[in-house]
Amino acid sequence: MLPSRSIHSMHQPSGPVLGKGAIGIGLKYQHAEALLERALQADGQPGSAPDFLELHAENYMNAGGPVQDQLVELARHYPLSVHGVGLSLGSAEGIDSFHLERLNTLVESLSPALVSEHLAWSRLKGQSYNDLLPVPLIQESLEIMCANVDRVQQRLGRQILVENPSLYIRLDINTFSETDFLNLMVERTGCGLLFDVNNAFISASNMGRDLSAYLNEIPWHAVGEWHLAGHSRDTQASPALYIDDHGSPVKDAVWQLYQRAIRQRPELPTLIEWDNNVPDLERWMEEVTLAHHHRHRVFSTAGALS
Amino acid sequence: MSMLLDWQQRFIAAMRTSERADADLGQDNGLKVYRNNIRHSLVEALEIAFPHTRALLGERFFSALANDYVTIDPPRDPRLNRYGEGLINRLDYHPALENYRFVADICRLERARLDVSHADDAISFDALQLSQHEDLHELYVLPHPASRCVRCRHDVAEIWDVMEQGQKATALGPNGPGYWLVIRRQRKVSFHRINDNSASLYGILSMALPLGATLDMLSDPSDMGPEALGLALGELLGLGALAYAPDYQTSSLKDSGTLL
Repeated sequence: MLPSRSIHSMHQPSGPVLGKGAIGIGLKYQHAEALLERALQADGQPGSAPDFLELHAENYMNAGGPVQDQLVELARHYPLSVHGVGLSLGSAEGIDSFHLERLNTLVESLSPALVSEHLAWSRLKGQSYNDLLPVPLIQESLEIMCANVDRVQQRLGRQILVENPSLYIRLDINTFSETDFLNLMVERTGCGLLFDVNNAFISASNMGRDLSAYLNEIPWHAVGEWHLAGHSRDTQASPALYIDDHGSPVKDAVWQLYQRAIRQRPELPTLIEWDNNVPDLERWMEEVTLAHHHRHRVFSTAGALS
Repeated sequence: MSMLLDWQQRFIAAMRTSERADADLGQDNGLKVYRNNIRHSLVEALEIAFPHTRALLGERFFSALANDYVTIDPPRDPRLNRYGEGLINRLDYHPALENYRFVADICRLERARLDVSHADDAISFDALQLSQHEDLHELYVLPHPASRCVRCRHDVAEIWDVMEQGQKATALGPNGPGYWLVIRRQRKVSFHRINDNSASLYGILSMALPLGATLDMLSDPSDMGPEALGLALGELLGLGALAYAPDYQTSSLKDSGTLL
């Protein structure tokens, strides 16, 4: 397996570099035109356009067409983050070579600032289940995750970030804690982590996890991006469960957790996700402004960003 | 078998049924969330892909059909804009749709629209280029990558046209089965009824034979004959449905469609 230092010496993206504390939003088809207009009009004015855009890789793995053309145009104006949801890094049968090639083609064409995937699986016997399914935290999973992450990094020639999951089930067969698993994966592969604050809140709430202990054990040096999103609460479930539905504004509890987490790495970019009940661009940009306020509240006295 | 593979196989089996799962797969209320997520996202992908089909079938019937389909035939590709090809087959054979088989034709056209929307671009081969080419036996012309030829089993022309205009579907037209060419030029996808000879020529050209040999074969009076062949070639050239093969990317060839 590739030692972590080899990844660090790999070719890194030549695309735009994200500024300190950059705040981005997800790229949705319906906002593409408006985002282009804002980029052309922004002229360096803060708050008029997001600092970067994050796209779901699988939506843009096309040979051509207007959606693809628009993405190329957006890439000229915004730093991009390519966020995969279908590579199935935790799949026991390995990752799909064709899909990895598609991801590589996309990454080569965009030179994004960030590339990320999930601690999850979705593929079995050649079929794709289009959700981020939970990985049992056992030795075999660790070996498979590390091998798959390593294969992806080797093919892309760059480091990827792996996102912590939102969980709805507690697995008694786990032999690692999530943080032990993440630490070992980082150590063995040299990958980075995408710390999804919403997922951390949801998993802690649903699993009865000690959130402070969890935060204390995260390898912060490896984290490369924050994710924020809205969630809902399924009170019909017994016991009730928090659901990572990305369908509403970021909740107060998650903003509070964000304020705690960003003290660890103030310079990292933050992405505000909103994949269901997608609002208009104005409303989404209000969340970006709110994120800036939360950052300001944390760092105004400490001067941590200077 | 590996412990993880066994666990993942049992987990997916638990996603396909609401019966109580093995204890090591997790708690029932949490499994239900994953089950709903998978189902919801796939059904939603079908709703987005096939809006006219959904409108024709009605919300309740489409939902039942889609829920059944996603359980039996989950995607093989994580790119959801590729999902749903098999839905056409189900519409062709669903017993409750015996008197509504034309809905499958609308679904075919919607599938073709999606395919050409995400296909590669190429410069259309035109009549002038054809006339200037010295040796047609050295010329390779293929269907344009952002085109599909669709055979509809019913005359759905009027239904399609009014639905595209956001109006309620009307009755089937008086004509029988027929071919459509679906093509994207720049950003716009357009739909054209084409004659049977044009569809045959389109299909044969997709086999990547030299144009000269293809024309020699089809111009034989026992086949299409020179006049019909000329009309077919003219129709395809006029619609921009052909592309010069060297302009074709290898990746496009892999993704190009033939007859749906």
